[in-house]
Amino acid sequence: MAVGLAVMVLATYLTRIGGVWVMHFVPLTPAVRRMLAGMANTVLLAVVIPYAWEGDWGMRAGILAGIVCMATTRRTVFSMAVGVLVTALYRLAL
Amino acid sequence: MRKGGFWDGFWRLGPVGAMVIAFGIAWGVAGKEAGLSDALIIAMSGVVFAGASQFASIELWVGPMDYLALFLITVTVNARHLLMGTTLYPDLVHQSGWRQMLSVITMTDAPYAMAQSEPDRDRRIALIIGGGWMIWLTWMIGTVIGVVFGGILGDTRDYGFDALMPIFFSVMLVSVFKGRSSLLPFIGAGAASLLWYLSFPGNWHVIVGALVGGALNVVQGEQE
Repeated sequence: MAVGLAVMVLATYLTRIGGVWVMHFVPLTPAVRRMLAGMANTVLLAVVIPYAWEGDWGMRAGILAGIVCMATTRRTVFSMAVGVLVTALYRLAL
Repeated sequence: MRKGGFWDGFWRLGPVGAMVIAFGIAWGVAGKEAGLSDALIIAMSGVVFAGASQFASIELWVGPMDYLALFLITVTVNARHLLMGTTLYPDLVHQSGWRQMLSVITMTDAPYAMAQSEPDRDRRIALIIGGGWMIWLTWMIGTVIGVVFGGILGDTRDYGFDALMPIFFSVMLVSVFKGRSSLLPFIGAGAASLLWYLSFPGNWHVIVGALVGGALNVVQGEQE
């Protein structure tokens, strides 16, 4: 357990300091910058997809509600609350 | 670093912190349901302090440990920190190496996003540090509540807690979606990760999806 935790602490801290550290030596080329930008955005998608795939319709409805709400209001916390509420209400109703 | 910026950042993240408590409860409950020990669940929130990777690691704690997979998945899920770091470099460059290393300990999404509207460089870093500690505190409070009281909350699925994490990620995805230029990387990464997920065991679909998304972003950039 301690080793696993240490591995995760090290990995997470490397991501936090890594960007700052790299900039000391390597000015990022446009290609590297685009690779990092593309990864940073799509990694969230890759994590989310199994949840939507395996989840019930309540979860899918909540995810959809959160996306629609964020696209229209641009308010993160509010959109999360709406999404969770939709999931809860959907499961309550059905 | 001005102290005023620290406390300003701390309190400005209060409303987000309220949601982080719920997120922490969801983590505590999810960890317990997967069979993780109370000590592990709480310690991980305290020292790793990166919710997405904590959720992503759950499967890896069950069964024989694969430390390489744990390392790679943690790095990949938290890869967005790397980008935050590169954009904060100009704000940190005039500070000592130790200060730079300490400043990023609690760097996370919400404080980083909040600080983007602050024009003063020193104050921007102070806001991120202060906001980060608000998120850390509420994350710990939520985790402990989830671990201790998760049982009496009944089935937290009824409250939609299990959907909080995927909904948070989906909302973040909307905020980073930049229209047509995001379309190809998003579709490619989504398709690649889903195909991998359905075809192979383990959690490598996260890494595969992100690599495909990153590569498509490079290819698309060179065509422009």
